[in-house]
Amino acid sequence: MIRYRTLALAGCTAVAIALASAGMAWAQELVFWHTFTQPERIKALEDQARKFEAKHPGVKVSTEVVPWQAFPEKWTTSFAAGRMPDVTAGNINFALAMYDVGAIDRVDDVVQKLGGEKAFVTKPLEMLRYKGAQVALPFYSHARVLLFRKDWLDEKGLKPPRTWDELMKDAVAMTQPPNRYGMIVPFGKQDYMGTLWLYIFTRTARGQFLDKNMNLTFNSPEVIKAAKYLVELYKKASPPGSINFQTGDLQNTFSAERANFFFETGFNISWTVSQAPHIAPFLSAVGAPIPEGGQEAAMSDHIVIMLGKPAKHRALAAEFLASLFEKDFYVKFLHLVPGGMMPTMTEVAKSKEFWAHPLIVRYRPIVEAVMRGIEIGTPIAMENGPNPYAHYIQNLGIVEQMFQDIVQTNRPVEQAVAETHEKLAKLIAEAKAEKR
Amino acid sequence: MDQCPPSEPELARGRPGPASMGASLSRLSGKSLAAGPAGQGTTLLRRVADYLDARLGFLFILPVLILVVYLLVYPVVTSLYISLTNRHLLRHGYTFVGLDNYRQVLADRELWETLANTGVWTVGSLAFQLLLGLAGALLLNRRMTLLWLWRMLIIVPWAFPPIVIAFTWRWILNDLYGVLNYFLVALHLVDVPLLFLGSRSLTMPTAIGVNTWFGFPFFLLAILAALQGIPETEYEAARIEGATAWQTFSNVIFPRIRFTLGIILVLRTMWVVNSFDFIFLLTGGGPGTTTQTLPIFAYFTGWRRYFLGRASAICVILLGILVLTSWFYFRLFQLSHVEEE
Repeated sequence: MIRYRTLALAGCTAVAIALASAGMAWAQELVFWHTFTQPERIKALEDQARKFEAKHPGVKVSTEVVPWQAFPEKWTTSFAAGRMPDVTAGNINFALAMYDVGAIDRVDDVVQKLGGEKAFVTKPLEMLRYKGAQVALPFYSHARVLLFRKDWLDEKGLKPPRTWDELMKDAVAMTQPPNRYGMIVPFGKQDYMGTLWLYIFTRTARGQFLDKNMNLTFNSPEVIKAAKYLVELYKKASPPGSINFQTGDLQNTFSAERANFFFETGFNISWTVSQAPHIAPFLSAVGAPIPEGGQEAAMSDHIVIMLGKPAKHRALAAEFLASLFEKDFYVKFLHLVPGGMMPTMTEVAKSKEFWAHPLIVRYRPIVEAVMRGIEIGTPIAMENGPNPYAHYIQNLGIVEQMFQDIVQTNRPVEQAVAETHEKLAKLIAEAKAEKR
Repeated sequence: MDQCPPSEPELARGRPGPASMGASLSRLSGKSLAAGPAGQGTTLLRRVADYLDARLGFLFILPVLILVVYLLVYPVVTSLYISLTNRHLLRHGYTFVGLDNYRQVLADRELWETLANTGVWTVGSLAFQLLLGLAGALLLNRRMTLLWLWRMLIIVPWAFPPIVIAFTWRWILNDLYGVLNYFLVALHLVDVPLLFLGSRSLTMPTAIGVNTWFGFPFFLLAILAALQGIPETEYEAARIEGATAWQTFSNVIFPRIRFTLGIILVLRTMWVVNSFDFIFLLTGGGPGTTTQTLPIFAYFTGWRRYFLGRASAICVILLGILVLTSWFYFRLFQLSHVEEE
């Protein structure tokens, strides 16, 4: 008996696909990636997407969370496949690399739409001006400040450190191994904390990692001076295990009341209040200590929003991007991590609404120190402006390995810095050759 | 080639056997169109439907076959191909560079350090997992009380994703607030906390120890299953003949679990060598490069430095090592299989 089973199956499949396609056929769909994994921030962005859809019938905004750790793989593979999202969050390092290869579009028109350059805080916007284009919009900024608990200083009759010497003296005075340490100097290879510490101290010593022509200047007296200081600080006042510490270990060690000074952003305010409330009343911060003859400096970073390329719905994507800066939504979003996410919009940065949040009021000196850091600081190795090669210094664990070698194999600092310079120079030369 | 007749169950279900499938095919030939049953007024549509119906089963498994080829064959072939190009993650287009990537990778001192680390990590992890798994299985094979509870507890490590395990162990092993160091100091076993994840001499043994904790239940459960297939009469016979514990193990138990051991050794070797997330999250490959294994080296090369061609070359080298190791195991397995027969 002939039952036409296969043909019937094929027919049903075709009908099902046609129906499914009809159901999924939005007039226009925007894909939006962001890197925020906390439920509150995810919900806020979802709500804003629904609001945008309500204003634009027939438009669907699909949001996708891409955690920071997964972002490099995600964007590079999507770029290789020609499937960049319409709108995406990221950081400045990603933005520069993405713009260089044509994965994102310039957003000068969105800047104008939002009120022009004066509508933005100067430094974050400037840092995203690259090759004559505004390559991304700064969504929020932060800067690392020297956090500490004041009661430990009071116990010893010490004052918050303003100079390298004072920091060393304070940190050593508070150190009582193996239970308590004055400072956390992290050298773990999983992230870039060692590079970050070195960058801050190098900058305060008036040094730099890359010059104006994007040439590496790592093997310099200032970097060597900063590296020696950090190694001494590690040996005299940091937990020995911090040789393998990464970001999360800083907060854990601090809240476990085992160590004091460490560089962190204002994100630590809400974290300490919720996770270590016993320490919260004593939480304090100052800018990076300065050596003799040095300068005020900081490491800042900017979380950015970009427009993917090639764009299917460029105008619509730009409109959605602009909607993320609507004042009501923007202030509410920043308040989800009070003091952690600092505004990049001039109006909001000066607004009563932003500064009125109870935690920002309570920790105003820390928040102001962070704001100052944003004003004077730059992302790692971008002291001379946006630099796509900064990534090679920051994210490869090479500087952290240098510190581990110095501490554990007693390699002279000068030799270790020179060898690291060679490694980094080779990588950057290869990257420059690739670009050509 | 002889056609096999359809089996009885197939006939009972009315499913066409190979013979009827052959006939169905022949009906589609030009000859049968003119002279066969199809030529007696059957429409072309009916013949096509009949032909396709006879292969409906194949159509159902076709998507899975395509998926298997896509997931297993395609990545291997692509990796081999990319390893011969200068493909870069941030650049469109690439050119064929022959064996350049292999030359560069093999000339890199870091590769040889990494290979040595991979060897220590794999052999150390497997040896301890095997010993502990075997010992645990022999213990649990006795009639123990609450056997179900022990089995359940042993499988706990497999219930958590590597990221949870890695961060939990980072906390346990921390020198400042870790619970292990706390007890070691409190019990006066050490004077100062140990740098489990920060010392060049301790980090690899620590990582192997944690991996043993994670991996030995797999050995244990597989060996236990094999042990429970040994009839009690064989143990009794050994006892009657006055066999010692070692003689019982080597002559009764070992031949019965040899096959299982071979298979799980192949599987675990591949998993341990390829393991990335667990050791990376635990040590980051440090201190220095003391715990950097081949997958971590490939990750840094491909995903942080963007040299996809070079990273693929490292992966192909890794594949070669695994193929050789598997070949060695399979040789071992075949020998034991012959002996068993």
